[in-house]
Amino acid sequence: MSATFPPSVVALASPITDMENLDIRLRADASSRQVALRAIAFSVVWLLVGSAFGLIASFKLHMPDWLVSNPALTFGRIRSAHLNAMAYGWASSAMLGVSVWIIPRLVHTELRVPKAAEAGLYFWNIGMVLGIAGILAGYSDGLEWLEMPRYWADPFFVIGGGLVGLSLLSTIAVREVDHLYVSVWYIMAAFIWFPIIFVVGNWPTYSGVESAAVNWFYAHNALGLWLTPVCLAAAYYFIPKILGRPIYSYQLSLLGFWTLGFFYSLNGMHHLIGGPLPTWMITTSVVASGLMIIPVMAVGVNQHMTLNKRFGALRYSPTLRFIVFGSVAYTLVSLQGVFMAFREVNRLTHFTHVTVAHAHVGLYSFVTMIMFGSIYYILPRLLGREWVSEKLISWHFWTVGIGQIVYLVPLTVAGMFQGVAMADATSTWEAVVRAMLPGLIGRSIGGMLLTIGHCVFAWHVFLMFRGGKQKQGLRPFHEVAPIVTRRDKASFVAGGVK
Amino acid sequence: MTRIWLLLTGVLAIIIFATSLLVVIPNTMIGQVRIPTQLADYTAQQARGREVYVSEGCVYCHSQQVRDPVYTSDKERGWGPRATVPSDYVYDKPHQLGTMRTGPDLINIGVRQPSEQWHHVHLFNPRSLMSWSIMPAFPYLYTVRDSASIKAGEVFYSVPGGKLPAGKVIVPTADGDALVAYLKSLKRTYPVPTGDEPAARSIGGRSEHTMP
Amino acid sequence: MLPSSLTVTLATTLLGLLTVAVFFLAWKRGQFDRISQQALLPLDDDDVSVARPWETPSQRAERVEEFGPPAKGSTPGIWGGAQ
Repeated sequence: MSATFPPSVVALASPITDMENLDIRLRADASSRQVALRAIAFSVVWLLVGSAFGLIASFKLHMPDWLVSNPALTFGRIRSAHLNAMAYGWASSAMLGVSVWIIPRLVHTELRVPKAAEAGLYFWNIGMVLGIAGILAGYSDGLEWLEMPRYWADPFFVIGGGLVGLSLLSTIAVREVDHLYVSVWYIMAAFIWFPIIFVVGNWPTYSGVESAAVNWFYAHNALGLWLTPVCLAAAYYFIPKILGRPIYSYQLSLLGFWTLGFFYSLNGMHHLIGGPLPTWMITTSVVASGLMIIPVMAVGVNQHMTLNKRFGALRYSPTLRFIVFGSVAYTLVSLQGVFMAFREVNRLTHFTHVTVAHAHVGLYSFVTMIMFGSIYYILPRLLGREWVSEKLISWHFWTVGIGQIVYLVPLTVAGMFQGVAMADATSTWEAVVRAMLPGLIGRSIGGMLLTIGHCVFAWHVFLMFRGGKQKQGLRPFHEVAPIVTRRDKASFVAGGVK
Repeated sequence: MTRIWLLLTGVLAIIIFATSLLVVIPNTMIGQVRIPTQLADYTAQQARGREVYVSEGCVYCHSQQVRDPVYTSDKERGWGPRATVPSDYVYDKPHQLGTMRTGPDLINIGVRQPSEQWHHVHLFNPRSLMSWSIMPAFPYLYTVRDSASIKAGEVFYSVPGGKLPAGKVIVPTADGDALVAYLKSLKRTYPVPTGDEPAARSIGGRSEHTMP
Repeated sequence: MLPSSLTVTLATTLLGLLTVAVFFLAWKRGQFDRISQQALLPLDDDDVSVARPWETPSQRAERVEEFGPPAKGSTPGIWGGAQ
């Protein structure tokens, strides 16, 4: 079952030859093409759906009498639909696509049982439709991150995720490499962890505070053991690939992997600080949250040192722009999270919009940006043509980049005012609400910018899929011209990097 | 080959460890949670109201927990005479502890606001009572009727604040009544159970012990 | 779910010891030698041997030293075409 040893140990010391690796790459891409393309297409659809839900929810917070006559549009349902559409529709579908594309490349063999992976993708998306419809129709299970009905929507995710996992694990089992790269570790772990936590989280027998503990055990692990590992896997692949140099310290990346799993999985109770749970559980999570410094710094140092003195690459590579943005955001959101887990800070931030903003730094600035970057790299290689317009990429990057700042800063400030007002027992609730309102409006503006960016991106992806009026003879991997500054123009002819 | 096994055992060990610590062990400890003698299980109408609460997503703006008065101002705000404890939630399936306070905490709303009229008018449109409120309106939990069409014995409410045309009143639907019944049942002001009360069971969540 | 925490403690200890055992086995079998070489796994020949437009001359020299001379010529529009 194990891979044959490479022809010689020397093969480890130097990259394999041109013809071999081109052949491997083409075979790997050909095998994952069908599944990856469909996964990406689905994910972009959910991105748009989720953006619409998010905008509606955001507007309702400062226009509360808007669209109130239809129960399917009430804030409590639309807000859940937004979260689920983004987390399980956009992010997870994109991650499924990125995973099936990366694994064959890293184990140097074709994707096995690709039909299972494809079926899994369809099951997943059927579950999405049923789940979102269920939430809007009022059948939420009532647990944050677990709203989709557990008996008639959730099984589709278990089956779907399981089928994709089966395909990936079968591929890894017959790998043609002697060693597993760190991205393979992260992806494999994610596909093992997710079904376990999903089933545990959705198990129907809990009630009372136990139900709360399990709820947040699941929800935080959905972030830390599903979304985070796959996005880190992507970052660990694309950054060295585009820069053309290996990760700064492989040992550090292994340390980062194991400490991430061990500490992240214990964090869940920090969502319930101050709540009616045994103190030992909450303290465990607070301590584990503090210890997250270790894997986060490991990843941060590794990525920074790999990029060190080569930040010029960001001018040339749109993929790298998004992925580095995401990686920096990962460090920031994790440090923010460590901070917010300390009781003295939590006293002021718990129950406020600071938490919502923090969640979006993680899910947008980290997860979504990394998925954008990955899609910008993968689609040309699978479709055999270059992105149509560098302008569209630039508009996408800048609208969502600025959109995030317009979203996050006002919302965090709103949350801080809210927290301070709440902590003061003499302030009225009116004062608390008035304190948060300007930030909520700012967040809606930010959300609109993000949605515009998503529409630009979706349009560009559509143009890519459609193909058509491409210049004949354009080779795959032909790079887009870089953003040439006046300083470079004289010394630069053409060429660039994806 | 060995690396794969290292990965697999390590990954499984991590998740089994975390699940044991945060799910299994608490589950075994749930037997120590006492059912308070002063806390009755939800009646059928209150239980239906709780379903409406869950279905409308009230938890996304309202919490149901009073935090420790030593380091927060929850008690000072009048949200409860003491911090809530696990026993307060024995009949709650699923929990609705909440992680957001766009609106106030509700675990003792039945004590703070016992008026059915207030709740119905508020739910129909919060801004009829508080112009600054950003809470959603729930008009579909009510039927709008002409005041002339109200028969004897029917419960109806008029809505101030210009949110209803003159001559119209609201009549709660069954779900509206259920939701208000649930909200009125939210009272956790009795003293913390001493330990002599029967234990809550973990599987199924409901105990055989219910008060009439 | 398991009703007894002694069982849980034993099970997790066993699993933990198993992991430690497998770790040592992997170590003894040489899985952790030459670990920095494993970082080269995602990189193909045309990732490492081609100069990047953003690299300084000293960085390009470093690249040639580590990975050998550029495999591709200096055709504009292709990797390595930067002057």
